[in-house]
Amino acid sequence: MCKSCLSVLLAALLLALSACACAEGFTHLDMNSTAIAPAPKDECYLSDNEYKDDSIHVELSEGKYAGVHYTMAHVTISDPSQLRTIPAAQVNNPKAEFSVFSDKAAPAVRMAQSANAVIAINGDYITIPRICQIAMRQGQQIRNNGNGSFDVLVIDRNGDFGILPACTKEDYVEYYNRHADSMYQVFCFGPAIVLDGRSTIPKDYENGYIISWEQTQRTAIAQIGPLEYAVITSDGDAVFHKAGLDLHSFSLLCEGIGYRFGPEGFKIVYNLDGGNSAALVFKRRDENGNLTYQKLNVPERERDLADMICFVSLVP
Amino acid sequence: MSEIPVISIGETRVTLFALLAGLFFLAAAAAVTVRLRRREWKTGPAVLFCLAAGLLGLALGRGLFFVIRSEYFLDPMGQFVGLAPLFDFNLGGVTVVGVIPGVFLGGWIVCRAFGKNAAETFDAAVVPGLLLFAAILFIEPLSGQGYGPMMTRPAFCWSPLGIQNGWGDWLLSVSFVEGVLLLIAAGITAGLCLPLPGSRTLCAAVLLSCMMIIPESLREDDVLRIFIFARVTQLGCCVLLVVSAALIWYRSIRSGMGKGVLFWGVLVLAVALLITGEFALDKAEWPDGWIYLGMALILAVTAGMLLNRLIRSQRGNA
Repeated sequence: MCKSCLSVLLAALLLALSACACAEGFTHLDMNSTAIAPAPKDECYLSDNEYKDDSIHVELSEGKYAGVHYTMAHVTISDPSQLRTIPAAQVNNPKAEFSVFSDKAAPAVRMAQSANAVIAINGDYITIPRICQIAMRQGQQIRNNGNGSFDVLVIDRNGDFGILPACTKEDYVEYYNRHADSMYQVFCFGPAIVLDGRSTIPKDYENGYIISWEQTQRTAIAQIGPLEYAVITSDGDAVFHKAGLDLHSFSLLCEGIGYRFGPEGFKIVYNLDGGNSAALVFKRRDENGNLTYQKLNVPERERDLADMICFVSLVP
Repeated sequence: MSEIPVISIGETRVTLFALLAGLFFLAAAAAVTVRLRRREWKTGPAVLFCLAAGLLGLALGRGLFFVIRSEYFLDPMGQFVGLAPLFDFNLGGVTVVGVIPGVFLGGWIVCRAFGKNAAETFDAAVVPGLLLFAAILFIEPLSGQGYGPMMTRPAFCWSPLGIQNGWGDWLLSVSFVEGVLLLIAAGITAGLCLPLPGSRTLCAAVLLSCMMIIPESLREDDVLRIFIFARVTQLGCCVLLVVSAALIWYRSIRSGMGKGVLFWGVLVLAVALLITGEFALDKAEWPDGWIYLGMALILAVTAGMLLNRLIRSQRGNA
């Protein structure tokens, strides 16, 4: 009896150990630098719309809302360090870090490629201090000049989102002094367009900084739950601003998408830079059958970007 | 491109780019001094002219750079750190949009002080000035800047047109293209018969502004921008073009030529089309090559029209 109990316990211990080894089999990426992640594996592209390896699962879906085409990617990662940001300078220098002194911009596809992204979207255009008034990237504090016109998105080192509404320089200093050790990424564009499942943008909402009333291309990032996210881009015309979504409609689109993941919807959806900056990059097979990074939304027009947010693999 | 070469001279560490640019400046200053001595300048004032033009050009170029990138004066939490970054030459850079007025201001002050004709003096200095600018552009990649889009034709990669980045990709050396264009501008400026004082300087200003607008658009380095996406050097070139056009027009009126309604009409249309072209590069779905070709044609017509009027105004005065 005692022997069999011991055998069962030993077997259970071995199982638990092997499970631990599996979960910890990948190297956690440095969260304090823009160090480059392992490249995604060709065999893990299950279709034109899905990538899955042991550390990350990305599934894309497309649809139409109010006559406008949109693309949504559902992303599940196993470690918060897989959510990363890329400076444009990385396309020419693998060791490039974010700098307040750089005005560099680069094509989204090249940025995604240089970071070995599984999926990448545009950020808040960090090199424009008039709009991106507060910024932290990969744990490095970049800028704090908030005038209260923007909601700030804070991503902590567990990969969880938080919002500092209408954040001023003083608000940020106070928050930073209390939370500096746990802060990972800070974006300043916004606003938070969905909170706790519901749209926060009324029909008459007007924000001149982000030209909220214009029907144009839009990008947002959402948190569904722990280490589970969605990124959404809606198409549009960036010349005459007549064929896309205004911010109110975009928030309703995001609100609706959120309920696909459960009755509570998205916890937070944060609006990022839009217009021709809106970019969602994923690898797909080209006409020769080769997997290449492609801009999926409005591929015919690409503006150089200053920064991107990407999700990467940990599988070496 | 990822590593900027630095040289130690005793205790001082200086970038190879800054060292070579300084040597080029000394060479250009020597050439200007020789040319001014032929125009009855003494060596001392001629050297002073070069120093004043160079130092004020550097000061205004750096000052404008820091005014536009005022974030150098703030720490990451937004606290003012004083003006020390302005004097730390390991930080920031210099914009040619500040250098050009600085050079003219410095030179003009010395001309006034020694009772010399500023227009004639600048005519003597402008070709060495263009050659200095071209030489600095040729070595700009040593500062980690001066590159443009990725090159797709392998044949050009190992030529001076190619710069290799940290990933081993080949990029177009925009600064090399600009340097070659400035050599052509220097050749035309030196070769044209422009006897009226100041005409050679105006010719150089027209060619410089028209030749730099498109390559500046191709730059993908740490371009200085204002008003979100506008490139400072391109705006500066447009301002230089309009100011030069106004001076050419004023001279041509004084030489008895017509009022030039068509001249101004073409110029305003050209500037409007160039601005539209830049917007189209960002917004429209037309091929970039066609947009650049259109812009090049507009610039060629504008430069041709301005130089034609400048040359005709010489005849009117003769």
